[in-house]
This record gives sequence, structure tokens and C-alpha cells, in this order.
Amino acid sequence: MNRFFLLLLMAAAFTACKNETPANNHTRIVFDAGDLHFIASSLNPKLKTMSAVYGNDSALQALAKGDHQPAAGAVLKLVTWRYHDNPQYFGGKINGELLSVETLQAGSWQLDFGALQHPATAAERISYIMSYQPVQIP
Amino acid sequence: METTKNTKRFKRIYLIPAAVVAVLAGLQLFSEPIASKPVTGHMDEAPAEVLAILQRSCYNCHSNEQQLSWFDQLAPASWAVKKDVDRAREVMNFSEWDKLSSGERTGKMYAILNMMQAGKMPLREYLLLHPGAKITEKDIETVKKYTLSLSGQQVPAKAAAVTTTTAAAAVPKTWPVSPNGVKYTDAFKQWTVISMSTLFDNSIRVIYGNDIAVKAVREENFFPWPDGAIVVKAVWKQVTMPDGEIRPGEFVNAQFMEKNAAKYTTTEGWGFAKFSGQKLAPTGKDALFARKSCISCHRQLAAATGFLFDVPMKVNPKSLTEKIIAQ
Repeated sequence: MNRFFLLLLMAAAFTACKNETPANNHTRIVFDAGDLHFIASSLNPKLKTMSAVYGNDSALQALAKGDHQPAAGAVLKLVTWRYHDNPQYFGGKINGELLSVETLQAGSWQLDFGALQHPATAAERISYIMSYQPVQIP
Repeated sequence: METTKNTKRFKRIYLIPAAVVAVLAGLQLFSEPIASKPVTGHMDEAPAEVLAILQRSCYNCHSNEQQLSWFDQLAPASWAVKKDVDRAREVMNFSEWDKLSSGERTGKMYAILNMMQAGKMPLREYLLLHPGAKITEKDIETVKKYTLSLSGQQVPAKAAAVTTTTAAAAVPKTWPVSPNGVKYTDAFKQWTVISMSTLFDNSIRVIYGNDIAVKAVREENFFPWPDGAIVVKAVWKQVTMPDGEIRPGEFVNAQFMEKNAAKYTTTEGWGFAKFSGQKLAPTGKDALFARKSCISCHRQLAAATGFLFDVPMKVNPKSLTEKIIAQ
């Protein structure tokens, strides 16, 4: 009887491994900014976030000039991610979970997706997004 | 009759080992010794316990100071040893450590640490015959502590530095070409951003991909990556804002990886290039540079993603993609 019990236990142990379905509902996201181009980025070590600013030509010009208010035709997006240690290289960090997508268009701000890391007013977010300078590439 | 048969068998018994010995002896004639090279300078800056680990586990290949066992020096084993040593010296040579800048030394220490952590170095086949070279968890901790102390020494610039980078730069009239044939193009500025990264807390990076590369990432088509895929990593110095946020400052370099399986056969089908500074000066004196300084790490540590380090992590739910597309 004992032996039968042991056999049953062993069988259970082996099937337990099989029942573990791989949690493969995850994907590698490449953010599609549509017609907008990458303009600037940032990294916040306190919040462990990385952000990218995308925009059209008018947005690029406004940020290059250091304007505090977006021009009428300017469209900007701020995309924020959680970052992690790069699993393939110790010493590097890389963006992971997508946290939020914000859009600034025709002078008004809206949260398209996710949640802000800090509560903030629309005016604060506009002023934050407009504080970016375009990256320099020769 | 019986005796002649026995003599024949007896002769055959001796003939086989004798032939083996003769062949082995013959092989020695074709054994080329490892080139003797001078020691130009050691890693004097590292603590003694770090040096002891490197000397014990790495120096036999990655230096000009081999202490080989007798069995390493016998052909055909010596052929493999020579090949390994030649290649190891190309990638990193502890006897010529003085030839590296402080930035390169930090980079090499991270490469060493990553190779050890991933169990890629010392090579498994080397450890079979040289068990003394084995790396322990404690060794890794020692190397890690020292490596982390190096990156802390490089303090990022303050926010004021941003404005100094916009000065009129000598942009080249024709785009530079890397010695292995990879051409620079500024078209990547309009490409899709695949990911963002940092390295050693002193640079901030954005990785752009052309349409072929973006499609390959989304479909995880890494084995192999499709020909025509180009990935460009733009690297800037970090600038710290008053609130502690870090933003890209001075441009450091743009690193290209271009997939062409037929063209770049010695580097897993990837053409590597690095264009540095305002003049976008290409790295490498000849086409061999990528074999010496790029592929060794990419091959050993990034095989899981088709030899790229900065593909986005697989951490977002699939449903999210659809949600974002819907907008």
C-alpha cells in the first residue's frame, strides 16, 4: 500500500512540472510614435524611469529654441518606462515596462495611457515636457 | 604455422602504438610556437586580490606571459592553444594594459565581470585540463566590487554643460566609412527608437532601428536577424539636472550594427562600426577591429537575442500593444 502511495506521489510530482505552463503572454514593445520623431530623452534615478520625447517639426523647433509654450501646430508625446538592470550585461540599464504615454497638442495636455509617477496638473506637465532640449547629433 | 601467426599478431600489437608515436612526433615538426611578445605594462591600479584572480585564471591566454603545461605544448593540442592565445591577446592583453585609456580599462573590467558572471570565461574546454583556473563566487564578488568602484569615479557633468555642446561643429561633408565597409548615415535620426539604455552610469543611450530591425524585434526574428537590418546606438554624456534627472549632453559616438550575413562572415553576420565625436571618426585601423573589440562580447553574452545587447525587455503584456495601436 505504501509503495502504491509513493508511486502516486512520484507521478504527481512529475505531472506537476508538466502543468507549469510558461507565462508567455509578454512581448517586446517598440513604441510606435506614428509620424512623430524622437527628439529627446531622460532618466530618473529616483523613480527608476526612462522617458522619450517625440514630436513633429514644429515641436522640434520649439524645443530647440527653448520655448516654454508649444507652437500652435506642435504635437509632442512623452513616453515613460520603468528601467531595469540589463539582463544581458551587468553595468547597463534598459527600459522595461511601459508606464505612461502623454500627448501635448494644440496647447492642451492629456494622458493617453497609464498613470503619472507623481500627481501633477496639466500646466505642470506642459512646462515639464517643454523643458526638454533636442539631443545633439553631428 | 601457429608461431608465425603469433609473431604477426605480436608485431601488429607494437606496430599500432609505434605508428601513433611516429605520427605524433611528426606533428611536432608542424608545431608553431606562440609568438613571444614583450610586457609593456600591467594593471598596476588594481588591488592585489583582483590581480591574483586575473593572473591565476586569465593570464595564460590573455597576456604575453604564458605558463603552459607540457601537454599544452604538444601538437595537436598546441595548435588549439596557439589559436586561443592569439585570439585572446587580440581581444584583451593584460601585459599591454598600459595601452588602454582609463575609460577603456573600465569597459574591459565590466567585460571581464560579465564574462565571469555568465560562466563564459575561462573557456569550459580550458577548465577541463586546467581546473586551477576555475572562478569561484567569491572571486566574482571581488572583481565586481573593484569594477563598481571604477564607475563611481566618473562624475556626470552638471546641467550647465548642455549649452556648450551646440557650438558650430565641423560636420563632415561626406559621411565617414568604417574600415569594414559600414557606412555612416544620418537617416537614423528619422528611424524608430527601439530602446533606451545606460552604461556604467556615465553615458545615456538611445537605440534606433530601421524598419527591418523594428519588425525583427516585434516578431523576435533573431535567429538569424534578417539581412538589411540596421541598428544605431547614439551615445551621449550624462548631464544631471537640478532635480536629479539625467539627460543627454555632449555627443560621444554613434555605434552601428548592420546585418549582412554574406559580407560580415567573421562577426556572426553583423557589421560593427563606431563613429566618434563631432567629426564622427570611425573606429579601427583595419577591418579586423570588430573581431578584436566587438564580437567577442556580443557573441558570448548576447547570443539569446541574436548578438544585440539592447533589444527591449520582454516584460510588457501582449494586450498592451493592441491597446496602444488602438490609439
